[in-house]
Amino acid sequence: MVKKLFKHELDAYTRTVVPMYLVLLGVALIGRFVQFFESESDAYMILFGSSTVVFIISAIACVVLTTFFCIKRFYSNLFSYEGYLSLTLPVTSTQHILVKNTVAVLAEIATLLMIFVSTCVFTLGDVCVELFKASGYLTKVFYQTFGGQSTLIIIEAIVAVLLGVAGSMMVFYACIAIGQRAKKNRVGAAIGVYFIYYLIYQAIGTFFIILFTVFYDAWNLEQFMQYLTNHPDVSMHLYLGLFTFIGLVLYIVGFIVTKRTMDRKLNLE
Amino acid sequence: MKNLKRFIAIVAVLTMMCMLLCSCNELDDMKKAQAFWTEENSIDTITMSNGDKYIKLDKRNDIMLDDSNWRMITVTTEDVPTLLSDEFGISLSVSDDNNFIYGYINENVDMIFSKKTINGYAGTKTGDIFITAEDSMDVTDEIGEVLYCKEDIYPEISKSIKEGVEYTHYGYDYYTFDEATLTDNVVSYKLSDNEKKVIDTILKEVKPNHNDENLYNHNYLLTINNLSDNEIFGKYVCEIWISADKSTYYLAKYFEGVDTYDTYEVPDKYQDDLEKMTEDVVKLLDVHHTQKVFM
Repeated sequence: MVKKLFKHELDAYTRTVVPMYLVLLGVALIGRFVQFFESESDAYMILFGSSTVVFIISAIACVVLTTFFCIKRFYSNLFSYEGYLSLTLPVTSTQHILVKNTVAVLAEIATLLMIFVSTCVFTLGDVCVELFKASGYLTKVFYQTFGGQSTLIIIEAIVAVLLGVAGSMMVFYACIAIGQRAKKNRVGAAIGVYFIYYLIYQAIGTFFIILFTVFYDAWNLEQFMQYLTNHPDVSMHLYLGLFTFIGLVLYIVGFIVTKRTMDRKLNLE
Repeated sequence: MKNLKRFIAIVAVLTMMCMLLCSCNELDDMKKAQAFWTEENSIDTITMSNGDKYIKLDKRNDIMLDDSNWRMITVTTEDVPTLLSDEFGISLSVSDDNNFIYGYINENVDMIFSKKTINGYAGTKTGDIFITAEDSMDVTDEIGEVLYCKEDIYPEISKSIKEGVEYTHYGYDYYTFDEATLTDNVVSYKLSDNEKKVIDTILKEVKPNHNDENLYNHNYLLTINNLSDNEIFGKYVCEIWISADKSTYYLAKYFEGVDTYDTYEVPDKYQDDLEKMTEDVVKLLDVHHTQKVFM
């Protein structure tokens, strides 16, 4: 049943994001076509500038719309009238949440891949070749800097990014789950919950920054920072580990809040 | 319908192929501005993107470098892509006549070509270094002025440096501003034997005013240099200044070590000669202040 749920989710996403990707590709193609007429004239500069701005805005819009659709899909499928159908399926709430979260992460990855393909189309020709050369060279420099630790760092980075995206999505789900407990204006309540979460997140971050600044000398942190500067591999492991940890915490907390709400405090429209 | 689809597919493929062939002007400019260290682990020669080679001179001696309209290049190793040349290269300047490349680089070759940990700090290909505060003085000592000349004039230049240069005439350069292209043009003037004699006579016979602070109440006109036949080598002779009311000329000799001038008021009998010599430059005083040209 989970497989079917997965397939159904993918179909729903495909119906929405694929047209968006086609539009992005179209904008990239138009932008590349404009460059056919490259010259020093003001008219070309304005046209090229405009096409570049439109392309960048389209790429950003793709990411924003994908995220928006992921959140909307979760809400409408489980907490609106569609929930009456979805929650009668022989699938646990855990499976619902995990499937939706996994497909949302895949959609975000697909969007980023599409932006990459569109950028290649937009810069097709010498510029694209140079971009690939630059990426290859930076990879070489990366391997020279980190040596044998490079592969481990790449794996850590991938895990950190995936957990970061999944964790962020879980936070949105938790905010929706808490918000739907409100009697009126559930969407507004969910947005309010998100703002409170954001304030708490910023407050915790600021607290640690103040702690760091106040005890910088007392805890001999200058030596520690110098050590990190002279050992980029250690500092990279530390930063990635920290991001992974934060992503994991958000994921677990978001999951627990969402699941408990769905199991005990569900309040469908 | 099938033929129409086939036609559209062919047009699409052809368009994509044309796009592959299209270049970008800005990228082409970046490629032209990228040069390469010819040999590995050596800063002795540079090869430009058009194939011209430049060889490092051990001494600069009295080579005159006209500092107008220099263009910047970035020198990298051959494996550095064009888009990263600014990040991983060293910026140098190429003279307008394309004969010289000039700049300042960290001459520790290990710093430029490899990443190595030396005395507690790491070097990178750019010459930028991550250093501890204690090591900073050692590193800045390594930075030096470098001058490269084009391969085809290198034998002549290095022979002159080794055997000595014969200075044959006096001359000066000044700027004119082209309003159409918004660029500065350098105009050269070769002094005649008689004009040279006038300058030498004034410097010899007139009593100088040492450390003359009044000089800055006058207007600078030009700098006279003693030049070799090919005008590549030159020695500073003196400067010509004119009073604010343009009635009196002065010669001035600058002493770099103490940052002072000795001034020589041009006697009346030579004022006409100076006037003729500097006619075009004085006219420019009303348009813009003249600037020193040689470096």
